[in-house]
Amino acid sequence: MNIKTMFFWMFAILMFSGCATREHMDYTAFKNADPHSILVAMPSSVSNDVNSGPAVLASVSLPLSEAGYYVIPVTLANETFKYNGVSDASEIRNIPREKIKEVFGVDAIMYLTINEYQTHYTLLDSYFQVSVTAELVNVSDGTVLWKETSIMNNKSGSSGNIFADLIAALFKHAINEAAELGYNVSVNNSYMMFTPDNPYIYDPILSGPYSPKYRKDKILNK
Amino acid sequence: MIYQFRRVILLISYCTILTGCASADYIYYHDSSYTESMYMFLKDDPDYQEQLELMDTYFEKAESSGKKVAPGAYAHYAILKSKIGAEGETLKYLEKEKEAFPDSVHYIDFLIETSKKKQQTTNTDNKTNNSDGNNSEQNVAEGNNEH
Repeated sequence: MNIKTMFFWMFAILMFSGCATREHMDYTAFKNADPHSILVAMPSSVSNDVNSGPAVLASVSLPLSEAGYYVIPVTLANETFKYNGVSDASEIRNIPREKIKEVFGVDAIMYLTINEYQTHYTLLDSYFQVSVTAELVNVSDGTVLWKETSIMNNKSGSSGNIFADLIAALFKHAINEAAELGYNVSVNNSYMMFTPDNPYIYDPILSGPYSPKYRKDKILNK
Repeated sequence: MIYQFRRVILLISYCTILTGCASADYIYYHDSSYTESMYMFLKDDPDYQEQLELMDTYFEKAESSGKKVAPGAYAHYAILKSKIGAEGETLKYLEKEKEAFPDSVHYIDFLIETSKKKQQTTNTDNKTNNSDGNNSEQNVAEGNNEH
């Protein structure tokens, strides 16, 4: 391999990734709020696919726990909402924070918005793409502690994202039918979104108190 | 040119995989079975037996791996047990969740308390209606504090 060509491409990649700069978020509020437990609410979705909410909600629990937080059992919480006549994501958003605190005893609530959950058809190929925006809100005062959007697809069998492909290889799913493609992509997307110090996320989530990396996030030194 | 570019990418991915493996120091046991079981439940799949089996797989694998069971797994198992009418098991697994994760105590106690209150009301109703007994655990997720 020509070493010059290699450097050229590496430089080109760096140039492109450097172009899309925006200010990093201020992590002060997030650090000070120091949430230990998080309630993840049923996502609101622009998609007509009824499975989009369940797929994204189910996929969040493990990676967010691994980031170092206690995640309120998502299925139990969803039943609690349902039995109390709340089934819609927008209705959950309207529940007063005091009530959320009273029932769930959580420090923060994670609101999820599914911006996209669909198959894209190109001339030669088709791929499934999922886009989710996550917003972490402090239950005691309603301030937004963290907000980020993550997009994932399964282009040509790989996502084109080394990190996600690595995760995909680790999580060889039993469900492989085309019908569950959205679920698989959602799982990969959630692992990408909720991994602290993930270089593919501009403002990654901070490590929580149950992580060995708590308060050692590289992003805090930026 | 394209071929060389691919080789660079391949090289970078090897490096990532190598460094990635060394730092893959998970706190909890990660497996698709737990997530899949939750997914089935959330999309109202009535096959609770299969969802329980997926969780059995998860617990078994977690145990043999020596890793901790992830937050919510016991509670999810508890609600599945309540769906098939195994009431004793429901409370047992809710207690396990509380024991493993103190952050869950507030919520689970809230559910148990409200379902107890509800059971009392339902029991009085049952007596008057002379219908057969019910169980508190089936209502445990309701957390309805109107009573």
